Amino acid sequence: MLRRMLVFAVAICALPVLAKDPELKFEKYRLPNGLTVLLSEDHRLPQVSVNVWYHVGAANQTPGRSGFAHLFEHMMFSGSKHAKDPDAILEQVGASNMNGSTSFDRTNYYETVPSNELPTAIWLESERMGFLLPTLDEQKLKIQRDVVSNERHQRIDNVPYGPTQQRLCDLLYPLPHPYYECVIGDIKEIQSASLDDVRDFFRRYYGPNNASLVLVGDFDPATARRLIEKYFADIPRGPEVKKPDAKAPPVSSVVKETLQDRLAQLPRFQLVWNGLKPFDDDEPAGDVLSEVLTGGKTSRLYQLLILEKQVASNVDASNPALGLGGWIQIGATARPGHTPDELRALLQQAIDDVKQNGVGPEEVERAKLKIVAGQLRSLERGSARADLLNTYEMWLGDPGYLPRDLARYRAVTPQAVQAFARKYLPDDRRIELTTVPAGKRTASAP
Amino acid sequence: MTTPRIAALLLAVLAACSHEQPRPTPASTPAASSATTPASEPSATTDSKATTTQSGPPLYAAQETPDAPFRAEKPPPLPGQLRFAAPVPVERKLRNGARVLVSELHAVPIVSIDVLFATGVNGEPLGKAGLAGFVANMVTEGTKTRTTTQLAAELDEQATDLAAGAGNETSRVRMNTLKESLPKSIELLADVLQNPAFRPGDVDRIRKLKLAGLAQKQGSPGALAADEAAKLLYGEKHPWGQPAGGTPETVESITVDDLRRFRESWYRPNNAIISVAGDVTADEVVALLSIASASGSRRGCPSSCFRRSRPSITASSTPSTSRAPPSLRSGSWGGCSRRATPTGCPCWSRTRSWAGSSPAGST
Repeated sequence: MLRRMLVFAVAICALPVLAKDPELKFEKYRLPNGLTVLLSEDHRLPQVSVNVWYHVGAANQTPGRSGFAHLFEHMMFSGSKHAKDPDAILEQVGASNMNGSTSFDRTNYYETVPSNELPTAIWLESERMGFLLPTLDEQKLKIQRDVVSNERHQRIDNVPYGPTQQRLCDLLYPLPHPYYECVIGDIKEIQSASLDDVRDFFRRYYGPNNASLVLVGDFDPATARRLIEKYFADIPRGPEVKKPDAKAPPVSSVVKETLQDRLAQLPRFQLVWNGLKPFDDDEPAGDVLSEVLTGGKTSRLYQLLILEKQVASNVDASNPALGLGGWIQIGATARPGHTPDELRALLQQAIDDVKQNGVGPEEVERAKLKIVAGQLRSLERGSARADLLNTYEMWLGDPGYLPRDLARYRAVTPQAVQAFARKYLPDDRRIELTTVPAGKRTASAP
Repeated sequence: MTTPRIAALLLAVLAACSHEQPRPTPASTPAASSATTPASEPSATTDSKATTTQSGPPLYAAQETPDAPFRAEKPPPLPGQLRFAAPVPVERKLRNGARVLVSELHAVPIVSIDVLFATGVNGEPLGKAGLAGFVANMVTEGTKTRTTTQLAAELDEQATDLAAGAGNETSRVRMNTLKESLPKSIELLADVLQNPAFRPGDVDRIRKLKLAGLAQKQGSPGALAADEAAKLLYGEKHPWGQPAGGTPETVESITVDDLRRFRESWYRPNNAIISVAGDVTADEVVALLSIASASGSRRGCPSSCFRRSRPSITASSTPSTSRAPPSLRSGSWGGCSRRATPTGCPCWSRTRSWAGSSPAGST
């Protein structure tokens, strides 16, 4: 404690305050078929970021189909009626940053093209939305089933602590919850996906009324409107999509598990609690708490576990907010020669300290500033601004939410952080996951 | 040293299921976390897999999008030429010899500064693999007047990011700061460049973290494969043929003197390019940099100090015994001549011998 006080005594000087928050300028309209369009001009570079969000993700999956939303995303790159190889076409026009991603709650597709090739990007996105099914066949699906299965190996099974993180989803979201097996899914279920599944998912969730199209960059708004009208207006509206509402049973006791990990070389311990939905009133306090605990070298856990006790090689905390309820995790990876029990005791000590004694105003101010600065840094890239506009649109229907988003972080008080810890980090309702290196290949202490 | 691995993992679990396959991590980071060995059984999977088709609300009328002739092929580009003037940075030179390149970008109140020294792993003596990265990690661990925690606290107060790392041919210290914090941040950056402390306790702590990272690397087959590829490409005696971040043995062998010597030899203004981009003008930032760099001694090192081999990158079949004196001229952040060696400057002539029997640059 004393050490920490000293730190702050040294560090208190004038905190920088931004004169004025940057604004995300945009215009928003809707086509008769329900497609939401957001246009945000930025003429500094002769390029346009095109970014389409479909409001569908793992949350919309049915039991037995884990990983399907993501597999479907891959199918959207496999060609359509008039564009057999969309990647090749984009490469020919000099596109960059072409990809898609699937999360628990949404799926996005994006590319950045030279300004004069905007028509090609609009055309290809309309191909995805309107003409995927005519060329769909078993061979394409088989290829993507295998690609996605391999992706799971690469991202989860073949990464130290990956299986632990996967296990977390199963403990937090047992069947029939759609988050079961996380976004990536179980390989057997991925392999069992059929063409009918793909057709059904497409018709159910990929209508224009369940999507928002964002353009950020160097375009003429009138031209963009004309192109969007031309390529998207006659895509028929899809069925109304019901908001996912599956509920997971809350963690109601202390659940302890130890996992053997063949790739991990050092033990790891992590605590997990039920978390929040996006833009929950308590979300900023949770993010500030994560920052206070593990944000950089001045953070409490870095100071305690890495600098002072030197038992850990890594500390981390996060507060992912998800549509069907997220989680909060606080963890540490040991240094060679140290045990999960040591980590557990120190994590507990730090959490108890926050609950009992609260956090200092300096810590909170610093964390808030870092979060706000991080948000500002993310605004440098047009593609990131496009995602941010889509985020605000999807969750709040308000793409211009940025200033209020920053304001809700600036409003966090030390009391709110302490209250968050007391409310959301109960000692008697949490998951305690220990990961140990499998077999005898434990790394020896130096 | 905080959380790249776990953060990446969390991202993978949360949302990173992108359509393209992840690319292998570059080999330069120790304990990079890609993977190729046999997969562990996901102890997590269960086996209650229903294989029914989707259930849910009744099916929609499967309306198709009407086809139209204009959809048949890629539309032509819009008329008109693309206008793009590549940013031309303003170039300045500080009195200590450092080149400064400034590119103004005023969209967001952020300024980024990248101090690049033209020496990295190629400046590591044989048996000291991992030294360049170790030095980079140490310069952000505190200065003669600021402990690790004090420095971190002052940076965090400004929400300023500071990071350093070493590649094959460069060592870089990078800063990203809010515009309002620029003067204070430059002051801290200058202190980091001029007065790193290399306290033995900190060196030992970072060494332990590096050893933990090297242990973790054993679980990252991609990183191990990259090490093997580097060895095959450059040979066991070439600095680039060494495992990224070194081995436990070389990391153990690196002394405080090794760290200091490397820093004093290569972290010099006349071996540096300072690139600035962001919400600032060249005049503003050069003024700040000049003030900051003037606080140390401007006495240069005798040019004899540099009569040694510049790290020369050649394949292992042609060991680097280049004698060409480098174009480095004298220069100093201020700290050099205070730790003078008998020749007036720290020199590598005794240790810089990669393959040749005679010390490189000894004549």
